[in-house]
Amino acid sequence: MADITQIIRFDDLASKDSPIHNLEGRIKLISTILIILVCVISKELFIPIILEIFLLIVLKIANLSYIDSFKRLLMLLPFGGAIIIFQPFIQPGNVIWSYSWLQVTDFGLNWAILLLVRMIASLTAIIIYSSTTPLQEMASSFRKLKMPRDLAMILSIMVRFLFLFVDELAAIRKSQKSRNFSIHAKNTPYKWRVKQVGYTIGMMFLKAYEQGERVHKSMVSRGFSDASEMFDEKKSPEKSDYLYLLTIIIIVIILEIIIFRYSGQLGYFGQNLAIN
Amino acid sequence: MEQIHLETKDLSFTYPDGTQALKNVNIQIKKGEKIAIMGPNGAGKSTLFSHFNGLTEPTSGHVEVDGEKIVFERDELLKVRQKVGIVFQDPNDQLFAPTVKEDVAFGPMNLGLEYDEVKRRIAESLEMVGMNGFEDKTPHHLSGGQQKRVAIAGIVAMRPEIMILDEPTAGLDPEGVDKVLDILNNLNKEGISIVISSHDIEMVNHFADKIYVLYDGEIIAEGDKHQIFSNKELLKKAHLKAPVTTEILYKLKENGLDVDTKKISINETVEEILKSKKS
Repeated sequence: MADITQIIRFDDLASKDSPIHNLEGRIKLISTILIILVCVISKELFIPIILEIFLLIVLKIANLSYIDSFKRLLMLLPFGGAIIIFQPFIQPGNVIWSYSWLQVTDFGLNWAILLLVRMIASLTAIIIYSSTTPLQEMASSFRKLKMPRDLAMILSIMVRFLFLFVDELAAIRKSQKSRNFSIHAKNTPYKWRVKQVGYTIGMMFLKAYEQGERVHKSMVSRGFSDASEMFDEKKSPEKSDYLYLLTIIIIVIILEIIIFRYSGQLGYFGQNLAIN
Repeated sequence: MEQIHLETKDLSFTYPDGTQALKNVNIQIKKGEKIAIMGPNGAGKSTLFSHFNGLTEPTSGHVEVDGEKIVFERDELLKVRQKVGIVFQDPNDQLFAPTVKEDVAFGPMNLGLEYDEVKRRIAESLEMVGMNGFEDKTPHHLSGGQQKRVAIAGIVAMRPEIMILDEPTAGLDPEGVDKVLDILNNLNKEGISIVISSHDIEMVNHFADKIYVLYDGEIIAEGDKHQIFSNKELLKKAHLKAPVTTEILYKLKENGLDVDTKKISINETVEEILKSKKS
């Protein structure tokens, strides 16, 4: 089971050093969005597949483990996968397989395959982004890309206190564990155990509320008002950052040209699989 | 030199639930002084501190900064809060930005300073507390002592004239305590008045020029360390303990040695003992 305390491990991973980790936050965010957009609007398998290959190379450069990234992909897949899995059965088209009332159509199957490939490529892009960018850098990238000030401040503060929240929760759970509490232990009534978990959650709410009050007080003490701006270091992207973005843009343009001119020679990969 | 920097006049505060946290508190802080406010837990130290820069409005009485009464209006408060900086006890209450530099920049940004000036102040105040090189770190990943120093830098960056620190050494290891005290002494040398609260007698003994004892919302004594720490009755009443040196001198006196129990520092105590041994 994924645990909220995992988030800290996740952020450690994102703070490592590699050519991809060192790219400017905004550039990484824009490239991720670009790749997702291109994947989503492609009607042929060719483009998302080549982009996926490119992303696998990026994954290698970023020194990320293929196995861990694959596991993460599997964890995320069910969210969209649930929609994809029904497609072959519900889309109209030529029936290619049937069993009593259940039938699979060719259009449906093709559509499902296209969706799956699009999703895998998009998720890979997100996994790379999130495993190479610490949370605080994500927050500051959003801010620099002119996210509304209040939202940006909420995001920044959330990123900061998420860690404190996780620590507090971990501390409470540790102290419960040291007194032999376990939600699965059968020697206490089930209702009682659930109640204890309820208390823990209630306590976290209370702590969060009080922490919020104290933080606000200390912010006001430093002159905070509704007109306050957050500090953003003026750091312009470097050559290597632009190079990375440019590489992606060039790849996309080449792929689009190939699809436009030679889609007939690519066979199944060049076919328009989208249903309109 | 004898100019009064911060003063409370008959300051009283009652919480909405009826608890009277402060009763007619009169305190004077002169320019360049190092003041300690001592008292047991729940004596009202933190409540008193939040009055110093207008975070809390008194129920009666008032606070004066440089002879001027604090007016509870936005622009006036901004001025007061620039002059009087408060470092809170728990750095987690203060460090809210995702990185050290953004947090230190917060105060200067609120003062409406230019980008370059803000940058200069980040560098300057982190240098002052010996935390340069940590600009891009997340506060969460720092040790308690480092967080404390960043919290101090966040206030120093506003260039205050008076710094108020709530329990600045609580929870720090001895080295952390020394580092914080060094920083405070350096700031004081630059002319900043410093007010701390603490119940660490030994620390206050080394640090403060003047001590106020707060008990149950009232100032029950004020004076220099000799006057406060040699008064055993007072310390007992305020749930505090005398410094070890005082305890030793009292024991020696009980055993018939002729020593002055008003001596406080280690050197003075040693001298007293040697003197009484000779005679």
